Amino acid sequence: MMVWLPVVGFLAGFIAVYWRAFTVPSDYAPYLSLAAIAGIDTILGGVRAGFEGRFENDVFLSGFVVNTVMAAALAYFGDQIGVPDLYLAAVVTLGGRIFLNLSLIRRYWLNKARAARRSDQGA
Amino acid sequence: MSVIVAAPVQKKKQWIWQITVLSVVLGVLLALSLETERVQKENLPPRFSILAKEYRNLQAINEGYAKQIAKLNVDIQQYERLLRQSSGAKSSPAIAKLGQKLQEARQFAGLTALQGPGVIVKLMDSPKRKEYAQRYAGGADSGAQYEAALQDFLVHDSDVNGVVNELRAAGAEAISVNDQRLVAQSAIRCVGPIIFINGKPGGGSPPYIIKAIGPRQEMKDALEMTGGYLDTQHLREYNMVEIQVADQVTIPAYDGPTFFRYAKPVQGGQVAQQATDGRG
Repeated sequence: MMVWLPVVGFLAGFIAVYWRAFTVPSDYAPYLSLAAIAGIDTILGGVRAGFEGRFENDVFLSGFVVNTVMAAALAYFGDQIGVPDLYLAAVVTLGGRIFLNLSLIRRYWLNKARAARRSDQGA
Repeated sequence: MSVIVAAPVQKKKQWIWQITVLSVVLGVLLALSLETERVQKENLPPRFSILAKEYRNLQAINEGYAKQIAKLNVDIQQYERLLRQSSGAKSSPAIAKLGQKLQEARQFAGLTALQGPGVIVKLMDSPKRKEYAQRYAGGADSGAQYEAALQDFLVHDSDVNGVVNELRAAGAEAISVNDQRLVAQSAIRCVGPIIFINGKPGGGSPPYIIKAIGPRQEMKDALEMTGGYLDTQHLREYNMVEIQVADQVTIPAYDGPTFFRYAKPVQGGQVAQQATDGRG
């Protein structure tokens, strides 16, 4: 049951803000979106590390902050030096990692379910 | 690693809580991002959507005003009828005379629908415009030269103006173009591919039906005369005009604004003594 806590937290944060019509200036909207993608990547990475038993809170926390800020900063930097497609680097990297982490989490869950079924049959 | 092995349960609880906290932050980030993106789509990028909204708003306001005008016109008619009833022609010839004068002034100004004998002129793009344009462009069926040649075989605002002028010169008493009544202030002008009349797009696109009440035969002859507008512009040659004489033509009243914003009557100035029945 504990695994659903992040989902609940996510929904809580989402609901708290979504219907308030808070917005950021449109110039910064792409950077914010990128930061959000970096956030998704870090959270999934944390979940995966937790499942694998090598979760370290300092790595996780610094990862979240640095990834979100850096993803946005990279896109901003790209815009400034006239390489507006630089944000694609962040999108590709983060997107790839999101899928990788998702697949590992899925595998971990399936393995656990399979193991549980086997032990049921054994008993 | 070794720590995890030593107290795995406690450790698990801890990491899930930390992830939960940052999940909240992520939720906030995503919500902000989505909301911004939504608002942005609503407001900024497709400029057309803003213009379209603006246009619809103005249209709605316009319709409101049109309804108001119609209502006020009905009121005016009612007051006039009351005036006539409360003072019959016998009891007050002065008011009866005023009422008649008012009616004449309105008719002259184009504020009453009229009917009578006249002509109906249809102006349209030449049916063989592409063929002609190709011939005049030296065989090309596209490109700047072809486009320029094509213009000569399309109906323009100048053609409508020319025909209207010719009709007026021949004694037309009331003229409408595509059911827009022409009055003293009316302008006929191209705006893009359509013709605006009385400041409204009511002129529409070709064909243009010009109706005129007046001396039928004279108007028809005036249009067809050698050296007249249709002749010098070769409109008949390219089948761009049809003239039809009619026993009964109905022309709608002018429905635009009638107030003056700049011009004011001169104090003690001259008032024309107009002949009212054509006999002086």
